[in-house]
Amino acid sequence: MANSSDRQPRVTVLNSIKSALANKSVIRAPLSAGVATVGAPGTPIPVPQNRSQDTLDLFEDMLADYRARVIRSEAGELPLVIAGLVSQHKIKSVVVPPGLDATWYQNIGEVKVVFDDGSIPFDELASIDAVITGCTCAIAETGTLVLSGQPYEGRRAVTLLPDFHICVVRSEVVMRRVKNLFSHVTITDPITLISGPSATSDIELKRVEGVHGPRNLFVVIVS
Amino acid sequence: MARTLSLFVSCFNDTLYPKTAKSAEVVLNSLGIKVEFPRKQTCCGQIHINTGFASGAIPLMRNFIDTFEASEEIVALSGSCTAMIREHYQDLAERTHDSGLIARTEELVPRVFEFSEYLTNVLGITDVGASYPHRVVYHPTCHSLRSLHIYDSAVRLLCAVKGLELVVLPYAEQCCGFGGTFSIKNSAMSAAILADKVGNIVSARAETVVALDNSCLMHISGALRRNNTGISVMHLAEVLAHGLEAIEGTDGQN
Amino acid sequence: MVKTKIGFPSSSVRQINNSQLRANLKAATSAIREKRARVVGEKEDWEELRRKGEHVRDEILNNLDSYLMQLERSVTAAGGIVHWARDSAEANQIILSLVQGHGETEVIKVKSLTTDELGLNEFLAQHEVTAFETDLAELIVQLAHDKPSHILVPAIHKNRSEIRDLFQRTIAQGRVLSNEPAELAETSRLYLRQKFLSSKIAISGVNFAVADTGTVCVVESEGNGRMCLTLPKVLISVMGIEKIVPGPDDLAIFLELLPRSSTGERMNPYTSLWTGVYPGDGPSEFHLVILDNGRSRVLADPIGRQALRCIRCSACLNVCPVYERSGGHAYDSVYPGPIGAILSPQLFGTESSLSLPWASTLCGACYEVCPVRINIPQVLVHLREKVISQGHRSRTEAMSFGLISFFFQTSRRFELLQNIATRFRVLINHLHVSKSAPGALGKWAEARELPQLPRETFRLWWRRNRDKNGK
Repeated sequence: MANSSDRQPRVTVLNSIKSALANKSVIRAPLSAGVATVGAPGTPIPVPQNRSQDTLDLFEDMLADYRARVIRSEAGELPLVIAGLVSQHKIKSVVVPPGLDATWYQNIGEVKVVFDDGSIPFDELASIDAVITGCTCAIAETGTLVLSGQPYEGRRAVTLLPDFHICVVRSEVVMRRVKNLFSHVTITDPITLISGPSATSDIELKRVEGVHGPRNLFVVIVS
Repeated sequence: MARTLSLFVSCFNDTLYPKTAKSAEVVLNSLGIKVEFPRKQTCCGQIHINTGFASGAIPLMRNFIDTFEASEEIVALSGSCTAMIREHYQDLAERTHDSGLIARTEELVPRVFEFSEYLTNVLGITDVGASYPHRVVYHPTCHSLRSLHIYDSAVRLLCAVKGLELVVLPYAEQCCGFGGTFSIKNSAMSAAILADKVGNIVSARAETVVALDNSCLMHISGALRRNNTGISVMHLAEVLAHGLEAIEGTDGQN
Repeated sequence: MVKTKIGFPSSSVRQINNSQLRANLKAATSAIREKRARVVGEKEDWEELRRKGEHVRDEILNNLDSYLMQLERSVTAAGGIVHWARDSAEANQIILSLVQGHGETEVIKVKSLTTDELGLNEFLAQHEVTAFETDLAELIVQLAHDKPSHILVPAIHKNRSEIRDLFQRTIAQGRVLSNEPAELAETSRLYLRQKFLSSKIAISGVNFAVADTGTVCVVESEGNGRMCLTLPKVLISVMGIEKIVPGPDDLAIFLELLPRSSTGERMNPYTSLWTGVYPGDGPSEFHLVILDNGRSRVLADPIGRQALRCIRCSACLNVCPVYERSGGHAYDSVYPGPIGAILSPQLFGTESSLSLPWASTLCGACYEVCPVRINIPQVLVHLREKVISQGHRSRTEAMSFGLISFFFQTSRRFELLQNIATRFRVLINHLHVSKSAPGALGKWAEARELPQLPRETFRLWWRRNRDKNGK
């Protein structure tokens, strides 16, 4: 209540909740109720789990399913892979967060590299073609990258305004399931979960990649 | 001693669709089961609950308990009535604060089964020996599908009927739009949902629509007849009685 | 509700007869139903997840006051500022004062049902503040001076050609557009980019707030959310009192349940989580407005309160046979569909909302897909009774049901009725009931023939054929 001068609404809201909860009745629902009948028409049919048992394969499949481009790479090849992506997509400028390993982009040649020290105005960031970052961890079953403001990820605007995002994922940080997420990332950090490029399904529920965030997401999985 | 059960026919079948109850008796007798019809039965109270007059359902529930508590097994010829009994009777009883009634209800409700559920899950039977050489679609009524979870029961019973061709009903899981008094209160909406159901039935080129609830079938049949489709409707019990024996006193209707 | 001429039965008729709307809705809802079924089918522990979701939401609701105070403490400790609003008027005033305090006349917005509930955009407009919606669908609705018709896809009622024509008229700046969704999305990207870069204040809703840490979560797809949550100096987020989860691992449950139920994706493209403010990253000022607006009243109803479990996924809309044919506008509320039918009458209690508990066949498809297991049919039936007991009923109806109850409670009375009907059977069966017939019969005859009464009820047949022989 640091700033609100009027304490009355707070007290009223909390009091009306308290009196509402004084009614302790519990509602019962039969255990079988509300469960989809498996095998009945129109109910989800469990997909046989023959899909990649391997977590990295699953991660790659799920990323690709949401139209991210995925490249597997050995650590030593990473600079070449990044350089290849940059030249292939005619990227003329890249921004990098302050803590990014400089060897990653040592082969990109004539391309302009901007170091984000936090002072670059947003409209300038928006004029840069691409951003290269690492990531804190990733989730295989949903194809999700987890950024949390680490020095190799930068502030949130950096991964938002350029049109290309090249994200390097070390294979050992790929977890299988969403449920383990917060044992691998500190929840109070500024977190962005990214699953594929920006997309909308607002027009006839047809998924279109590329609205306001980066329209191109490249994920390099490094083992 | 032969197994004996009590039939809960439902007010609706009793008055409008007696053939369903007669057929159920034929099927059960053919399986060596003795069928009783406790005369005091009337209505489970579903229309009251569903329309918002729950207190009006309480005397009906009392009558149901009085009528059936002496029966070992009760078989109901309606998915929605069975669901009503399972989902609402305990709550209704608790409202009366009558501890005797609460206990009697708790004791009775687990002994109430829907007809197809009784055949497959209690008796473990799928082939009753019926024959019905026609092209049939099965419409899983909402309460049988989503409250009782007995989609399988009817399908397995139908598949075992000699000569019966069970064809896929597109969007079978979608409601027919009946909903009791919904069909009156929101009649335009009810008719719109029904029109799509009828369209799907026609597209499946079915001769007969089978379901576990004559109330939904009355609604569907009303439109099938209005549109002169020539497609008939039948409660599952009637299909299963086909080819077993002639039903005495049947007047050929419904 | 028979008493009122306002309400769902009449408001839905116009939509039912709009064949373009019907076609748009049918295509959209069936597409998303299939997507949802596919990704839900991938999760072998889906039912377990639903139960966990239900349990966590109930835990919050049962101890809401202490969780709210905990949230307030943790948000404040992280540098955020918490405001409390009893109703929409207070919430709107808090937000307006914040905007005016910064000397701004424009704000950008992330799609938020809660701010729709407040009527915030209209309120700000009355005070010379323009709110720009940045979600593509909300932008479409705003440009068309229309109202949202779906929780997740507010412009679901419009097809691509209608959207193309609208953009052509408004934001295309003279460019000729095709009706390709990609090109239409690009048009909104170009139009909004400058707004994102220049705006000083953003307003958002809240999907989840973590009581333990003060972390706020917004899920989205397009990146407009990230723009609003990251670029402006001031961020104002509005949340209903119920939008809390206890801790991080509880949040993870909903990050699994929500996207699969909502858009039918394994995970939505972007999820943002922030805790207070961060130096050098994102807004330097964060305000969290906690809104009651009728929710504590809903909480007082032990059956009705489960509606507050809702995480606004909209799965229930997409499977509802009624919604599919009426669209959202017929519900006359920011919360349409099955969840709206139980939430709107409880939250707002307006005359038109009192007809909503009857706007359902009780088919139960909504309950089956609900990620937090809200027993919507149970609440609908409960609310029907509640509305009637508050005196909102027609006298004929109440009398009819009283009579039915009287005649159906003993077999003797019931048989009497049956015998009367049977006596007039020939007459009844030859009645040609037309649509113009009064009351229920006419309504029934609009689309259906009446059933034929049999010669004899089952009970009489049984007496003739079985009782005689002794049973």
